[in-house]
Order: sequence, then structure tokens, then C-alpha cells
Amino acid sequence: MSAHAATAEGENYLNWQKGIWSWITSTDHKRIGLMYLFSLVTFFIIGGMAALVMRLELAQPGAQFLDPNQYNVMFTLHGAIMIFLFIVPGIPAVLGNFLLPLMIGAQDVAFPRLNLMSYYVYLLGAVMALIALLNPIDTGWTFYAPYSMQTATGVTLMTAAAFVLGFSSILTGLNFIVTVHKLRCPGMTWHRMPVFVWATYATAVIQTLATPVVGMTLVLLLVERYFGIGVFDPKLGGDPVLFEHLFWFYSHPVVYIMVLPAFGIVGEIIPVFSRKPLFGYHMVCYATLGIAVVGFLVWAHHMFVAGISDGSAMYFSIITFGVAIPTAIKVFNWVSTMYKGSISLTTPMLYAMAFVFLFMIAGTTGIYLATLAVDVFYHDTYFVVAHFHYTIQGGAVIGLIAGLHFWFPKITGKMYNEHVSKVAFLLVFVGFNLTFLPQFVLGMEGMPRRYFDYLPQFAPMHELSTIGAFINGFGYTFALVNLLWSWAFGKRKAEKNPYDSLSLEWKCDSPPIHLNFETVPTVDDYPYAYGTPVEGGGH
Amino acid sequence: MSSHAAVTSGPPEAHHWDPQTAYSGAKLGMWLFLATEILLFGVLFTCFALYRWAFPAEFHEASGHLKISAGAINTAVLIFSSYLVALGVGAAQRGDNEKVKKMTLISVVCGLLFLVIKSYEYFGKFSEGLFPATHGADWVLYFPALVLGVFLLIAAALTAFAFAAFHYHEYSKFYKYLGGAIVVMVLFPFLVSPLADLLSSIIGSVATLPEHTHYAWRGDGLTQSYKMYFGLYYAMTGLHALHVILGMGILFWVYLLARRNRFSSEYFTPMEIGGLYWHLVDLIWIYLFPLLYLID
Repeated sequence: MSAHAATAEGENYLNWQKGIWSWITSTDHKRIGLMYLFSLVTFFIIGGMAALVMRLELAQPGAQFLDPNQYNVMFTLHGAIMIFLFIVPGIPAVLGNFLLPLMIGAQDVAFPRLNLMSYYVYLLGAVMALIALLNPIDTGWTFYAPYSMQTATGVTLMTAAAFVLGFSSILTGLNFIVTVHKLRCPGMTWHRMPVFVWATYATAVIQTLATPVVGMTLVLLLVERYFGIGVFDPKLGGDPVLFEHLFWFYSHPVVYIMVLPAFGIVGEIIPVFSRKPLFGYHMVCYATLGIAVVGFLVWAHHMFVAGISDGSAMYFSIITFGVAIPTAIKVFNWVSTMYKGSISLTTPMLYAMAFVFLFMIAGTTGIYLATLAVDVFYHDTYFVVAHFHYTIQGGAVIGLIAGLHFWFPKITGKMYNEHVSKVAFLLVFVGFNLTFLPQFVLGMEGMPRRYFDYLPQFAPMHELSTIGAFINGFGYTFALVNLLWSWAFGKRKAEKNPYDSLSLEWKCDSPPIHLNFETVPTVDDYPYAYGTPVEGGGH
Repeated sequence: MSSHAAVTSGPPEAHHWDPQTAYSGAKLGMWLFLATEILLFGVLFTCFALYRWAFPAEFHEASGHLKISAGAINTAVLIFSSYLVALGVGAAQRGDNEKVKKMTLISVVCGLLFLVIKSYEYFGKFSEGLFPATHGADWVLYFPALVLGVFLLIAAALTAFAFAAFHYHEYSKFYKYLGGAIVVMVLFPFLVSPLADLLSSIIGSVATLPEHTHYAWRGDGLTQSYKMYFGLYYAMTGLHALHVILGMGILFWVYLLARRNRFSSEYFTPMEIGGLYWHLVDLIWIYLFPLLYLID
């Protein structure tokens, strides 16, 4: 591999081939990661707009400018786009693609062309989903039977799109698993891998094993819709609860597809900016796998009021409590890493700390919902909405943004504007909490979710929530514009290793060359041995 | 792995791995893919288990409509082809391209035979009125053709894109494949409707479906659970048939590679992973046959 040293001075993955064709046909994992990034940001903006329209409608009781049907369409649009097109591909497709080979010292993922194909399969699914959503769907993103078989809207195309997107997810997961198993550089043992690699690996396992189940379930829904075989239709002797079981068998683990990689990102950021070894590295790794395994066994906690038996409800409740254990281990590890550390409050660190804080709220309220008697009351109220958004927005999205800031120098070769990004962080943090804390209160007071209208007593909290949503949206816009601006017009070039980090991706150039490393790297320690002077470590 | 030149030649995908890792990586990838396939079918097996448990008597009676002889012949055909594929893997490992060509081609013919027998069974059931449909419109007859057409479109476009990606360093080839992908997409609507017409007229003549009303289950007096059995029968065997078609495609690709004398004792990965896939297709049928045909 030594002959790759022929790379010209100043040549990197961004400029080694020119023209739009060289991008859309590139099998370079870094370029594919960026193509995912731009697609995902586009869908995030569309889904976010739908959320703001919804919040604006809910600012006051009664109809403002939507009719109830349009409102249903809006929340399906928001849910379906955010889940299927944004957050499920999310961190693995963007940062996983970009970083996984860099972090384990490989030139690319195991199957580069399969990787490009996954992207186009994703794009095909995304186009199908957008066309489907033009023909409004009112089932919500869960497609519960039997309503999804009766409604005359574009359920067919949307479920087909979800199937295609699932296929893309499976191929990406499969690719990552083989990459981690086969392409680690000399010395990179399992117990020297960065926690982000562990997290991406655990995520890939879930992607590969859970997605086929929902894929087939959605195909069955279509078959049922057109041929009436009766598997899910009670009129034909079928069981709608069976659909819910099969759906959540995937759709609960999918929550971990969204959030596990964010755990990984936070695990990378906190040691670097605390200048301390990651506390309990092995526990963090095994807790990640533990969450992935236990996550497969808890799906029916979405169905406590759907008519499942008391016995199985108790089983699923107890196992759900069990998820709290590995998750709490991680929180303790992050906090202990920061304890007595030399903390520098850079933007990625602020996002990472916000993540820990928000995710604790998300996890604790999850315990409420796992409790059977409490869930009977909270189910289908705004409490669930708030809990879910603390997990997914406060967890996965904040994690993604933290990662984008953290690795921005590596991806673009530039530094972003730190002051602007801190203001943006503040707006996101305040806006987010202002949006969703009131929703916990609303839920406790009995405000049902998915409703178009509400009683006057709920008005003040809804108003606060709407204000928060706009601050939140403004914060995201600010952060995004800052990053794009810094990339396009930023003056400050990034060094190889601006944070004195010890993991492998910082040992290649910023931005990296096409084949990542000039020579095959070797590794002789895990990447968190901070606290001792770093040899040749920049400034 | 020596220079940029090596990137454009050599076994596909292998430019950044050594041959041994590439081989074991491809095998790991295929085993993972097989795991996803089993989970895919797992949903159908779960549904079948549940409803067979719920309606045992009707399922027993309904399975009496199936021709055990046809199913048994198909089982034999698939097991035989699996045997040939196993021989083909051995041949590829010895670099015997001639034998690989023979084995894969006969296996593809076996797959075709399987599909012919399966279609014969399907049309038999159609003419008994054991044909599911609720929404009652002519387009139901177009459905198989549409599924097939969409499947082909996606496959063709993706193949062309993959080829284009592989040849991005050679612009003339790149444009050829990209152009191919676009032509396929443009022609698609014009291709599908004659195909659907043809298929519907075939189904129409074989099954003599009534022209006036909707094509709901025509077997009068069938209970719902009876229909459920046949719904699951079509779903499970239909999905399996789709996998047979896919497996035939893979084996044919292996055949084309063997024709170019690609296999040697150093490089035989495609034959081996193609063989793995074909064995899975076989294995699933080995479970489907007793579950559906031999209930009594």
C-alpha cells in the first residue's frame, strides 16, 4: 500500500476527481457519506417545516388555518419523513460511512459499490415516499391495521417506499458488519476500537436483523390490502394485534438504530474535551451490545393498551425496565469521565453535555411509561410525544449535530465559527426544552396526542410549546448556516488533529486523501489514554 | 495493493483487500444476507403457525386442494439442482470452468422447471376459483405483471448504475451504462402495459374468470379461514418463487463468469456465494413443502 504515497500535495477526497459525475458515481465512503448528509438535511428541513406548521396550528385552540384532515396529513408527513428519510438512515449513513473506515484504519468499507447502491436504493425509496406523501396519507407513520387497509390514500406507495428504504438500511448494516470484522488495521483489536465503532457495529446488527421483519410485514399489509387474505383483518378472521407485534418487533429496535450511534459520538467527544480516559471503556462497549440485544425483547411495551394479555404485559414491562441498566451505565460512564477532568466547553462538548442531560430526562420518563398502571393513563397523551422527542431529538439529533461539529474540521478541512455555533447551541437547547417540557405537563393533565383541537385549559402550555418550536427551528437553521458558511467561505484551515485526539481518524489529513492513509496505520493502545503527554501532539 | 492502477483491475471489490480477506468477507456478507432472508420468511412462517393453530380443521381440509405429486416433483427438482450447485462449487475451487458452466446452466434449467410446475399448480387453483382478490377490478390481473415489471425496472436501473459506478474512470463506458439506465426507465411504461395485457389474457383463458363482477373468492361456501390458508399459500410460495428467479439470475451470472474462465483455485468466490444463496432457496422450499402440502 506504500505506493499510495504518490498522492499529490494538497490532493484530498474532495478534489482528487472533479465534476458532478465523479460524485454521483463515487464509491468513496467519504463522498457517499456527504451525499447522504445533503439528502438527509434536505428531508430534515421538509420534516421540520411540517412540524412548525403543526405547532402553529396548535398555538391556539380551535382551527387556525388547517382543517382536521390537513392536520392529519401534516403529522404523517412530519413523522414519516423524519423517521424513514432522516433519522433511521441518520448517523450511520452520514458519520458511520465517513468515519468507520477511518477509525479502524481501512481504505474503505468492505463493499464500496454495494455502499453506493445502498445510497441509490435510499434515494429511490425517498422519491417514492415523497410521491406517496403528495397524495396525502392519514394513517400516521405506523400504518396500523385495519385502518391502513381501508383508507383510500397513498398507503400502497408509502409502504412500498418503506420497504425499499429498509432494503437500503439492511445493505448498509451488512456492509458495516463485514467492514468491522474484516478490515481492521494491524493492532486494532476489538478492545482497542473507538466506542463510535462499537456503537455503529451494534447498530448495524440491529439494522440487519430487525429490518427484514418490518419489510415483510409491510408487504403482507399490501397483499392484504389488495387480495384480502385476512391475516390482519378481524372481519376476515385475522388479528390486527399481530400487525402491531410484527411492526414493533422492528420499530422498537429501530429506536436504538437512531440513538446508539449518538451514544458513540458522545463517547468520543467527552474524553477528548475532558482530557481524561473514557471511564469504564469496556463497560461502555458491552453496554452498547447489551442495549442492542435487550432492545429486541421489549417491543410490546408499545402495546400495553392494545389488548395483549396481562402476563405478556408484565413480561414486557419488566424487560423494559432492564433496558435502563445498560443505558444508565453509559450515563454514569460519561459523567465519571467528566469528573475532575480538564473540561473545555467547545461547541461539540456543549452538545454532548446537553445530550447527557436531555437523555437522562428521556430515559427517566421512559421508566414511567414502562410501568403498566402509569402507562394506561399516559399512553396516547402528549407525555409520550415529549418522551419520544427527548429520546430522538434530544438524543439522536443532538448527537448528530454534536458529531457534525466535532468532525467538521476532518470532513471539510476548515474550522467553523465557534461564537456563532455557541449561540446556535443555546437557541437549540432552550428552544428544545421550551417545546417539549410543557408537553410533559400537557400529557400529565390528559391532553391526548394526535388531536387537532383541544380544551381551553391546555392553551398556555401549547402556546409555550409553539414558541419553543420556533426558537428550536431557528437554532437549527443558525447552526446549519454557520457550518455551510464556514465550509464555503471560512478562512481558518483545520490542522490534522485540532483537538489532540488520540483516535485514528485524526491521524490522516484534514480532509483525508481518497484512500485515507498514506501508509497502513498500526495501533498499540485504545484511543482514550489521555492524561499523559501526547507525543508530537500538535500545540 | 500497490498503486492506483490496481484499483481499476483485479477481482471486483477486492482492490482494497488481500484476496483471502476478500473471500472470507464476501462469505460473511452472504451469510448475513441469508440471515435477513430467513427473517423475511420468518414473518410468514409465524403467521402460518398462528393461524394453523387457530383453525386446524380448515387448514387440513384446504391443503387437500394441493397436488402433493407436483410439490414432491418440485422438491426433487430443487434438491437435485442444489446437488449440482455443490458440484459446481467444487469444480470452481479446482478451476474447472467447463464443469462450472455445465452445473450452473443445468441448475438454471431446474429453476425454470420448478417455476413451470409451480405456474401449472397456480393456474389449476385459479380455475377452481381459489384466487384471492377483494377490491374487484380488472387491474388485479395486472398485478403480477406490475410487480414483475417494477422488479425488473429496479434491477435494470440499479445494475446499470452499478456498472456506471464501476466504470467511472472510463467515461465512454460510463455514459453507455448511464444511458442504458435512462432508456430502461423511459421505455418502462410502454413495456409494462403490453406485458400486463398478455399476462391477463393468459390468466383469463386458463382460469376463465367471469368478466362482469369483481374477482373475489369464487369458491362459494368457503369459510374465511379456508381463504386465509390459500392467501398464505400464495404469499409464501409466491415470495419463494421470486427468490427462485433471483437465484437463477445469480447462477446465470456465475455461468457468464465461468464462460470467461474467471475461476481458478485462487478465485472462486462468486460460485461459492451464489451456491450459498441457491441452497437457501432450496432449504426454504424443503420447509414449505411439508408445511403446506403434507398437513394431513
